[in-house]
Amino acid sequence: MDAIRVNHLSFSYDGQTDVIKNVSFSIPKGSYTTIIGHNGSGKSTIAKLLIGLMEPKTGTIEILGKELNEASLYELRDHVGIVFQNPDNQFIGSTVADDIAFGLENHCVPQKEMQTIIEESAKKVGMQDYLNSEPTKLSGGQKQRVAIAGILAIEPEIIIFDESTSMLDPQGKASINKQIKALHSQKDRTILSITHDMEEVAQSDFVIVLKDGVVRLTGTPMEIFEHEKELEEMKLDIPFALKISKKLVDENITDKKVCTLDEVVDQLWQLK
Amino acid sequence: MAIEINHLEHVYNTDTPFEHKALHGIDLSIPEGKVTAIIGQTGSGKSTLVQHLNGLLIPSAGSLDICGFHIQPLLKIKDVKQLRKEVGLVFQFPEYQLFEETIEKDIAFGPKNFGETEENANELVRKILPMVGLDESYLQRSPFELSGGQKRRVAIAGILVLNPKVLVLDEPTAGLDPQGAKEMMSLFMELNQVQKKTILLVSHDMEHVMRYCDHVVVLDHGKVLQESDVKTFFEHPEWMMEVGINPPAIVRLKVMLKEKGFVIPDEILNEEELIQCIKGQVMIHE
Repeated sequence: MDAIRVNHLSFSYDGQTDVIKNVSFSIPKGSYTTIIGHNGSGKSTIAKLLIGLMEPKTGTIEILGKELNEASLYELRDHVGIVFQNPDNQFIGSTVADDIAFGLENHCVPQKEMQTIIEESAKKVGMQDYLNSEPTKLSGGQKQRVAIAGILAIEPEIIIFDESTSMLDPQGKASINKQIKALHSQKDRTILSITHDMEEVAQSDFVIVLKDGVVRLTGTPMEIFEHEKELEEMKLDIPFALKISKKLVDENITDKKVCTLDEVVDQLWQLK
Repeated sequence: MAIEINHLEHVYNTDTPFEHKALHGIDLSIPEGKVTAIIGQTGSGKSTLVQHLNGLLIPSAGSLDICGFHIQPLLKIKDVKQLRKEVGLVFQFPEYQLFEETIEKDIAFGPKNFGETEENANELVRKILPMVGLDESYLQRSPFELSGGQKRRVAIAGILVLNPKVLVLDEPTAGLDPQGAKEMMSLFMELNQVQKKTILLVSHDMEHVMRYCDHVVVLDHGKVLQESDVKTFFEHPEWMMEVGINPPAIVRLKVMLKEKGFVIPDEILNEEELIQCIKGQVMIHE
């Protein structure tokens, strides 16, 4: 079953110019899908449409087999969580603990279980010492951690990350990515990640490439990276690992292109 | 003239229960006309340090000499107003600070604040706009209807329009698409090479540090942990990982290959040399 199915979706902010143009794609349940595209390609707009923050001009969105509309919106939002790039857009609670609790309250989690979940999810993102702090007084990276903790607390079936770790330092990013991957692999959650990080893209199951509101390419990371020239024209790039892998193939050192550093090292080690 | 920082200390919330010393006696000399990277983990003091460079923060102890200004404790804000024209500080996600109705008004805000007439300010805006890759058709548009990357360009134009001698950039490419990030960095390199502006780049992106910077300063818990030229810096990646810095992909690949028994000289930092080095150590595929 598909977690998300988008059919002929179009959207316009001003009622005149479409910023999403007849977009169709589906995201298999339990997959780790990345959406890439140049700034202004419509990635974040699609994310907002998927959680029903805005209504499509035309087309439909199905979440877990059910069409997203006014009647199903609140039921489906129980199954979909989002972490925005700018966490200021989603703070509600007056303290970090209140903010993490908000989603749990909406999911009718009993009060006595709530405290443990809040503490555990704050710990997963390294914010356990800030539970009584005011979210607005935290740094950008800390705010992103709190927003992610809110999602980890409720573990919805589908989680959308809209460049959610862009303000974190590399160590913070690595630790959050580990939590996200665990949620995906151990709990079978569907992850949809909007990103510019080609190393993350290389590790995903499936990639959707947007250009000017249109889906230009879909496929596995390797299938997408085959279109290097087209990606460059779309202001994108291929990962370093693939660049060096291509050169290794050109030099007849290896015979197959790969797109992660682990794969490059494995290939070379076997030839040593 | 280089930027000289002497025994700089900064304490937040002095004499309150929340007192926190963010900088512990920083001594640095930042070379003029070069690109210097300031790196370190969240909370290492990077932002606190760079906010001293245009007088947004005043030292609790120690001093700085920058663009002819001597910044020391108890200095009044009015004494450093002119410094803010000389040192342009671009915060992380500067697009969140856009506020005017039109792009023209937003970029012209700075020059008008420094006494330019509206006509002169608008003239400066027209000159600066192409430099950030935007044309005059954008002038009367609202900054809020632009994409994230375009907003970033407008925000940066708002600093460049003041023609600062020193540019301090806090994660200037965060959130930009890969080519957008390259274009933005090319713009800064042009400002450095052609207009000889001194650039300080606060960044977590070690690919950018390796490719674009001359000099690297590593901060840790409010102290200078290391300072060196960029080549020497990336020749010794092991300690970088220990302090939570993610080295560039080529450096990570070298570390991984060494762990598998490959012999890779420290000085190799480009793909071609690395491939030639590997070639001699594997069975060539026929």
